[in-house]
Amino acid sequence: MNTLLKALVSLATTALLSGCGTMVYKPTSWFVYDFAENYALAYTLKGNDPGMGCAMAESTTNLLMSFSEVSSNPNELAIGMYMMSGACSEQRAQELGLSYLRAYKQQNVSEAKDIRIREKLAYKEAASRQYASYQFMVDEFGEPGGECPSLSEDEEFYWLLGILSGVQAVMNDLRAQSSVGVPKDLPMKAARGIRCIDNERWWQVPAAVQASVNVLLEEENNASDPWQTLRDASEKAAKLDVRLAHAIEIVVADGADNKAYLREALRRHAKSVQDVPRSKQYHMIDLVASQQITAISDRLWTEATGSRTPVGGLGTFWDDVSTSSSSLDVDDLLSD
Amino acid sequence: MNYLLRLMLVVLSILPSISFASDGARTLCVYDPLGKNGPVYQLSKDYSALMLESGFKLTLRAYIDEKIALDEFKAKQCDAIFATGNRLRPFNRVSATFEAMGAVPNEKVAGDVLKVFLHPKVAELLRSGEYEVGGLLPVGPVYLFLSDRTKSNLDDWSGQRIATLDYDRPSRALVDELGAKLVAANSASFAAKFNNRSVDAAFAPILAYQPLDLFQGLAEKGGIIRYNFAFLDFQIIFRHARFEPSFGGVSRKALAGFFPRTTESVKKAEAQVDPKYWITPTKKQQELLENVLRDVRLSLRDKGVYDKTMLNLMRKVRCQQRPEAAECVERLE
Repeated sequence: MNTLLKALVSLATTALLSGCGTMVYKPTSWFVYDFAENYALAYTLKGNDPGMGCAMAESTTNLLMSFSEVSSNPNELAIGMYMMSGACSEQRAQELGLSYLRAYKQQNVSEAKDIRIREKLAYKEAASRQYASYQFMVDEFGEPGGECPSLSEDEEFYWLLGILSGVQAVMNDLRAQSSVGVPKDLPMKAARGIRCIDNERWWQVPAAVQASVNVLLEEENNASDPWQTLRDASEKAAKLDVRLAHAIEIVVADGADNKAYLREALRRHAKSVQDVPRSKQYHMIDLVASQQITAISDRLWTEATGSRTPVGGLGTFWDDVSTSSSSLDVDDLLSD
Repeated sequence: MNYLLRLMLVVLSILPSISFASDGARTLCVYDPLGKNGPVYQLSKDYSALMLESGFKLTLRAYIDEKIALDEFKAKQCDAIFATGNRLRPFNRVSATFEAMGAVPNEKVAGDVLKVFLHPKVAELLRSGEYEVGGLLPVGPVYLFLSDRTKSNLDDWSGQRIATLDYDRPSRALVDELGAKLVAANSASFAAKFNNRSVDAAFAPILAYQPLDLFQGLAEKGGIIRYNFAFLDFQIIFRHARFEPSFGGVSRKALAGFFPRTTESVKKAEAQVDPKYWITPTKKQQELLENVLRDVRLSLRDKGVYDKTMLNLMRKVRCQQRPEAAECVERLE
């Protein structure tokens, strides 16, 4: 009896340590995927702490993805995780961009050169992660740009995230001296693919992306001014609780160096955030949009003054003229 | 009194350079179709970091519309401009000649001609009136994209509609020489015209293939003639009086240093092209093309568009590489 028990234990241990271990890991992976997608990711999207969301994505993505060794790829989960991890690298790159500006202003040559290299490396990391997010989207739904896949509402959300990650990947790869090699035809495919999802449901993002492409390509067949179309999408988004369209608009206006438009758009976003509370379900998406916008404001402030946007100062500018109409006459007060 | 007057004049002539030392940055307006997010602007940031090493501080401004960048430069809103060579042609005939049709057949010739531009003896040719060339950066060959690959011979192009940069005199001259129909376009609109079949062909750098979706216009039947009709370049032109005298030389050297980077980008872009699109002209077709392009160059030289000395020099560079070519015996340039 004792011998039989020993033999059984030995057999079970051998089975676990050999290929039969997958019998345990596989169901575990299903559980982990299900929990991560339906609870952890959804919980993070409701969160109000981008720093914590970023740390979570960076620390757990590899662990979650390691289950793909014994199971299928959790594509939808991966789209979100790699996008968030990419945002972490992008934020570090933006910080380095500010340091570069200060070093350049002070004519600290070696410091400026070194920061510029580090900035590119951080953008390379961001592009690589964001491109991974896009590729998981392609793996799940197919390449955008051709015929639209049939998507449920949930799937439309991942389609949106994947497409935005792809566009960010191209932009960040260009900032990283094209060291990742993200295909340059991706934005055009993305612009066609974004039409597959509902514009109203997804916060005017499809309209904003389309207008952005038109701004850059000056398509001659446009009956309307693409800047006006962009502004229209942004003004509609200003009434919504997720303002991703604002981030797209501001990135494009900044890229085109359209200073007057950029200031107006920054003010519009700041006012919208004051007037319309952030979405509960997609709180993090709206916060990340604001973070992207603040990064551009920070760069403008740093270029002009050497330091970033003051706390609570988003939508204001260093050279704003005070509109105070106080009629206080100091001379009058001082005279007896 | 006379001595005093001369002394004052000397002092006045020195004053601007004193103000350079105490003054801050100069403005460089950069054309990039993608603006601040684009590769040219990003390269400009690296260039400005290099220039800082030599004590030249630059403030960059991005433009997605090249014409507006040029207008602002003319209106003295920018001290220098970084834009395509064909837009900057009116500022210096010598540097404009770099893009002469068919004059730079490959990267090796481009690199050698670039070395010529860096030579101190050429420096004086790069100053014209109040402007000076602050550098030249070759960015790759210009190919002919066809919507119908069966029409790949020179004889087939007569009557074809070709998207042409209407502000670019050499492009217009070439289209005339080919007997084709000119369809006016700019660097932003030519791709849409090619893709929606408003034209039968378009000249384009290979770097535009992926970003501008040119494979849509190529579709199933199209092709790309693998022959360098011109070598696209970006140049910096600056207003001489706004910079220290040494700026031009330092800037030209700094910008030329980015040539390996652009060459690498071109190689990567060419690797992305579906091999089925490449059309390599036969030797006979190549010779015919060489003759047509040389005729265009000679005609534009005689009209004062291209610089005679530069064309001669470029012919010598080509002949070093291919001494057996007919042009090396005929020596028309």
